[in-house]
Amino acid sequence: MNPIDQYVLEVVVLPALIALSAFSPFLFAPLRRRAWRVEAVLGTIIALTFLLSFVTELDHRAVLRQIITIEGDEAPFERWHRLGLVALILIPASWALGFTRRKSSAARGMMSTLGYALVAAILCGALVSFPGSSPLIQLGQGALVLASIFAWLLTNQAVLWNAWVVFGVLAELAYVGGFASLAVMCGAVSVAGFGAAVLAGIGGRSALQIDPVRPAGATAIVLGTLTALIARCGMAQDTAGVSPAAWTAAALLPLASVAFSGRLRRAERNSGKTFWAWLGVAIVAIALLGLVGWQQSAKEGAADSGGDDYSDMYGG
Amino acid sequence: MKIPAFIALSVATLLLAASPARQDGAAPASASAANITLDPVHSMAVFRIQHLGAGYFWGRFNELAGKIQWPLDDSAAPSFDVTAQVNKVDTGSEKLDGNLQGPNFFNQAEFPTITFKSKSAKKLGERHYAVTGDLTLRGVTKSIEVDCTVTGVGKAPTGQKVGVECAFTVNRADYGMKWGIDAPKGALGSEVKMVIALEGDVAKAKE
Repeated sequence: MNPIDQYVLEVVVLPALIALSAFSPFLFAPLRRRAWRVEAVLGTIIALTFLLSFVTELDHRAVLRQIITIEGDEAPFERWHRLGLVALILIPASWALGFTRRKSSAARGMMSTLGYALVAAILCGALVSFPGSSPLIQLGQGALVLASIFAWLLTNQAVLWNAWVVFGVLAELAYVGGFASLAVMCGAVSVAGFGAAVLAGIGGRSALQIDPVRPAGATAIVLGTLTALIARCGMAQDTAGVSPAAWTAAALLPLASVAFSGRLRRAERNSGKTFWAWLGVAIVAIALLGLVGWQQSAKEGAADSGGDDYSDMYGG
Repeated sequence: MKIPAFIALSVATLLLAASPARQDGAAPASASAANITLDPVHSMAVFRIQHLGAGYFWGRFNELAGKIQWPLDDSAAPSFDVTAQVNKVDTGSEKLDGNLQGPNFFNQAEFPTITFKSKSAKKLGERHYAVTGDLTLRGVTKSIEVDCTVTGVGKAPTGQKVGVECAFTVNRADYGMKWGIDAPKGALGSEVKMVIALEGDVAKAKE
């Protein structure tokens, strides 16, 4: 196997496979009949995939040195490594959030989700900073986390298909922005989203009275927190002039899931509802990537040379 | 008249102590060391690294800044305090420059400078030294040995100029720059050869 394929397998595919293998039983009956478990599992799959990809790409010390002093560890703390710690925290948080919401009515459950979203936004604004931050930027970061969580709540039953798209967009922006590590981590989560969507679809058909997966509680909070912080990190570390607006748009892409809300309401089958909740996000994602690509081409003034992506990154 | 042996021995010892051959330890030993301010236009660092196990490509850091102290009569070793700005990396490709400034390599946003500060030197020959100092790269400081040669002392309308050329090799993994060594395997080499070309203006002596 050539080194690039091996790299992609280790950093992108394997983390997603491990997370999906560990938790996919919850996407099938009988475990799937408890909604709170499903929301916790979806959040865990996303956060765990990111974490596994992170420690494969760097190493576990990149997370540990943020918590403890490691003897003989000379490397300094890099602020973007905070993403790994956030992913680690989101795993138990998913289960805690799901558990506390398990007996809530729909209205009460939504209120508690918004409450937890506010807490997540405040913590991310206060404790997670990237280079070039200022109090105003941190305030904006917190607001982006809150807005992103809200956007994910609108994705309805296409939440996992939209995770596939949104993290794919973040991966592409990171790659264009010169941040290969972030690109592969987002790629891993995109693969996990796709895999979870397929498994959830199969699981939904495997037994009667299985509800489609929805972005309730923990799922939306994990997705919203990660997409917003990844977008902020990409913005702060960008070296190729990808605009902050593009990154912000990527974090808020799930808002486009309401684009076809009329058709969604009229759809009779779950697959139709999923399609209409996904299509708006897919269209806006393609438009966003097209715009970024056009801006990069205009700046570079040269056509894409093609060939292997990693050798192209280093001068072709 | 016979010179007492102890007087002869004392004089010989004093002459040996003043000999230019003894240059060990922190420089400059001589009080007449000139202060040399680097000329950023004529000072740069070039680096070489292997790509995909095939060819080597070169890049450079433009506009080095800092100071050298060195007595123009070469009676002591030079000392260095040099800084490179990561955002001045230049490979001839804007895209590659951006990647090198990114978090996978120099991480300019977190570590905007690379510095070298000498601690001691050993004379290897005329105007030729092995200089030991601290290289700080990506927030990691390690002691390295640099082969330095004073290439010349010239005259300009503004005064005297001194040129120095230094060379060393580092393993970038020692400084946390591991992308491309093991993952993806062999994308980029781990050994980086550096050649630093410095030119500076000798400060005029105060009257």
